[in-house]
Amino acid sequence: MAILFVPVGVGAMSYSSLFASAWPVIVLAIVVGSVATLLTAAFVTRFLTAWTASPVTVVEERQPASR
Amino acid sequence: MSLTDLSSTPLLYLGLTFAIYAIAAEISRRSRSHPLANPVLLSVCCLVALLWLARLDYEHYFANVQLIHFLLGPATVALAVPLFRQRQKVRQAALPIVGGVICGSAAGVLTAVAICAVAGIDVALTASLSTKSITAPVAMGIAEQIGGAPSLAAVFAVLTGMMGAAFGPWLLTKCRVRSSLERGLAMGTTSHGQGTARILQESEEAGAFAGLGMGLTALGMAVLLPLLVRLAF
Repeated sequence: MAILFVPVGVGAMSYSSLFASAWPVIVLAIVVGSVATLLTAAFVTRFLTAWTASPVTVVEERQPASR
Repeated sequence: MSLTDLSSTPLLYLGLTFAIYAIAAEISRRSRSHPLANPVLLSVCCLVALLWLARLDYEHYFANVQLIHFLLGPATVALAVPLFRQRQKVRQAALPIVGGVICGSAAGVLTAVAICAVAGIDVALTASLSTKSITAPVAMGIAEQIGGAPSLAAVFAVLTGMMGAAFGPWLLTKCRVRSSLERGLAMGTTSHGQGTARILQESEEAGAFAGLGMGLTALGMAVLLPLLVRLAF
């Protein structure tokens, strides 16, 4: 599936002047933003998984005594 | 058919794109999926260099590879298949999934907007950058609504996807994030389809959570980003 992103990715060449002038901000925003998203999503998911996990109480249904 | 005729047909550009991607995928396989040997990253760099050397503009290239781009929409929808197979596990972890996606997306948008604000970047570029973690087709639509440039938003989405697919699994392993739920959701929320395709190579379960993360991020951002921009400006 990854190949499907190649044509749009090549489109970066159309913005060469923008990348030349603002590349530090663009790189910083993409790198820091992605790391923030990645780690926040992973650790919030971990925290909520632990928080919602509670001891499971198993209630066994009584079977009617067979005669 | 002469070489001149061939250069004006999609055949040359489609063949070139597939061939370069096949070589890049082989390099990635031989390097045991090293982050810097990401197939998309290698292919894009190689194609940009080739087009630049041949003095061909991007519009000409893109018009000839429309077929590949067209398949992006159906392929994104097809990511729901592993999600359907894992529906029981998704149902069990509904709250962690929703919480993780909301907090992760918010962290990404706020960080990017804060960096742009500090650097004094204009609203159009900031708006385009704020949609970077949303899958490209949706990011383009949202960027248009909030005053960004759709094509630029697509480029940022793909760059974020490339970076996430290249370094995401490595970073998660370094941070001792090992469960399929956490890895998949984080990859899908950060780097949408590319992250999902990458984590799907690890396990179908992680791929399912990544697909869900990608979908929820797109849905949530489509509702929240225009509202936030309206409130802020």
